[in-house]
Amino acid sequence: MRRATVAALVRKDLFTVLRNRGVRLPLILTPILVLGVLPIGLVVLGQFLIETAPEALAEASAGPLGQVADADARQQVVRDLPSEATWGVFVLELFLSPLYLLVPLIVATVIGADSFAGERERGTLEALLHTPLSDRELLAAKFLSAWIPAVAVAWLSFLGYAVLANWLLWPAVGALWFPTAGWVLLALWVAPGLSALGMALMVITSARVRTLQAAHQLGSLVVIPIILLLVLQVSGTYVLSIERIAGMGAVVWLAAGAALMVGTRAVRRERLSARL
Amino acid sequence: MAIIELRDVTRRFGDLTAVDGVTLDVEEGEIVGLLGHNGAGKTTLLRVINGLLRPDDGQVRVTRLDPFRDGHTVRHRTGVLTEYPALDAYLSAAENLLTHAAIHRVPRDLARARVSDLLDRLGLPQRRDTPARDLSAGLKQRVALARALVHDPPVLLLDEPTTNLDPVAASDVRTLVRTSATEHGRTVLLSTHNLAEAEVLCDRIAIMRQGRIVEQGTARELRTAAGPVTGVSVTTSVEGAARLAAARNGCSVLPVSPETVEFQGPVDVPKLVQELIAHDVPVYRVSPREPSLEDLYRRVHGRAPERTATTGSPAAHTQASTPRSAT
Repeated sequence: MRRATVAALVRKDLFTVLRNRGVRLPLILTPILVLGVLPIGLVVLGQFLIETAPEALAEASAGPLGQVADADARQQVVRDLPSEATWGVFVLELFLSPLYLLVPLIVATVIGADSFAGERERGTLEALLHTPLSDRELLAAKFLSAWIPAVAVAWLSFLGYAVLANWLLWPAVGALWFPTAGWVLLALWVAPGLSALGMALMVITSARVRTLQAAHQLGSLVVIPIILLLVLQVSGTYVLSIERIAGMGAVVWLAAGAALMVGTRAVRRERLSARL
Repeated sequence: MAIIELRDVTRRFGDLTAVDGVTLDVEEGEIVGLLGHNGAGKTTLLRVINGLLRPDDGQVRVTRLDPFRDGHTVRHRTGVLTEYPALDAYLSAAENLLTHAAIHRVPRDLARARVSDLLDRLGLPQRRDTPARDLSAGLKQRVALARALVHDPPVLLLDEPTTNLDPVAASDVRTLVRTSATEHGRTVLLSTHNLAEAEVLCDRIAIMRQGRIVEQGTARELRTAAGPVTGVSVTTSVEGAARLAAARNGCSVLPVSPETVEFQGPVDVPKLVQELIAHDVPVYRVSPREPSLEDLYRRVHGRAPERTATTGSPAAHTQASTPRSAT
C-alpha cells in the first residue's frame, strides 16, 4: 500500500468534509446537542425541580441511583461526592455516557455514507476507479477519511464536556471531579473503536446501495445498540463499570476488525464499477 | 504496434449483452473514435479496456498488458475522461488536478507545473482556484480533460469529450486531443455520437450498435462503404433554381441554398445538364454528391438518409424551392 496515494485521497475527502455544509453540520451539531444542550438542560431542570419541590429531592436521592441494583456500581458513581451533587453526577456521568458514544458513531456514519454512495451519486466514483488506486488503498483512504474526523470530534467533544461537567457541578462539588476513569476509557478506547465499527459498516452499506439517501437510512440503524445501552444503563440493569467499558471496547474493536474484513470484500473495483 | 488490442470482447450484465464480440486494434499515436448511440456499449467498452470490468469472453490488451490482471500498471498509463465531467465539487480546479496527480504519484513540483500548463492551454488560468461546483458544465469538462492528462499518460480514453462544450471550447478540446496524438504520440480512443467530430478528429472510426462494431475504417473508407455517388449538386442562378421544377428529369430535387440544389438518386449528368440548358437554366457548377458518414451511420442503424426521409416527394421539394429562390 502506498501511503502517499492514500494520503492524497484522505486529504481530498477531508477537504470535502470541511467545506460541505451538509456533512459539516452534523459534525458540529451532534456534540453540541448531545454533550452541550442536553446535559445543561437536564442538570439545570433537575436542580430546579429539586429546589422547588423538596419531596422530589427525597425521590431523586433514592430515585435514579436507587434503581442501580449493583451496589458496587452505585458506589462507583456516588463515590464520596456531596449528596446535592447526586442528580448532576447521575446525569453527567451515568446517563450521558452511552449518549456520548453517539457522537463518534454519527460522525463516522455520516461521512461513511458519503464515502461510496455519495461519490457514486456525484459521479466522482468512476473517476477514482479509473486511477491506479488499489482496492485496499481505496478502502483504507475511505476508512481513514471518516475515522480521523470521527475520533477528532469525539475527543474534542470529550474535552469540552469535561469542562462543562466541572462547571455545572462546581457549586455542589467545589472541585474537579470529571473526567472519571470510566469516561477516559470510553473516550480513548471505546470511541475510536466505535468510530471504526460505524465506518466499516457504512463502507459496506455504502458500497452496496446506489444512493446517499439509502446509505443514510441504513446507517441510522447503527445507533440502535447505543439506545439499548442507554435504556439498560438508566434502568440500572447494566451500569457501565470500568471493567464493562473495557470489555465493551474490546468487543467493539473485534467487531470493527471483522466488519473491515467484510468491507475489503465489498470494496472491489469490479463490483463497484458494475453499479456505476 | 497496437497499443489497445481487443479480440472478440464480450461483456454482459445479466441478460443484457453490453459489449458483444468486439474486435478492434488501436495503433500507437492513432486516434480512433467509437461512434454510436447512447447505450451502444461505448462506455462499457472503455471500462473493460481500463480494467474496471472483466470481459466475460475475449481478450483485452493495453500496452500488451491484461488490464484486469495488471490494472494498476494499465491505469497508470491511461488517462480517462468519464462521460460526465464529475469533479470534486468542493475542491478547486487546481486541487482536483493536484489530487489526481498525487494519486498517480507525480512529484509535487512537476504536478504544479503541469497543472498550470494544462489550465493555460485549456483557457482556464483564471479559474484555477474556483471551486468546481461554481464552474459551468463546459468548464468542468475542460478541467476533467486536464485531469485525464495531468499524469502525462501515453493512452487517452475519452468518453464524449466535447459534450456540454460550446463550439469554441469544443474546438479547443479537439485541438488538444489532436496535438496529444501528433505531438506527444498519445494513443487516443474516444467515444462520441458527434459524426462531424469523429470525421474531423479521428484517424479511424468504429461504428457501434447494440454492443457490436458494425463498421470500422477511415472516414473515407466508411463513406465509400456507404454506397455509390447518390446524386449531384447543381449551382445555378436564383431564377434558374426557380425554374428547375420543370426540368427535374425524374429525380428528387432538394434546395440546399438559394443558388444550389441537389438532385438525389441515380442521375444521368450529361442528360440533366442538357435538359437544364434547354429550359434556359444557367448551370455554373455540377458536382457529384458523395455519401456522407451520416448516410452510413443512419444505414447501419436501420434508418433512411435524413434528407430523403424528411423532404417528402420531389414535387414537394420543388414547391418548397420556388418561393425561396424567388426572394
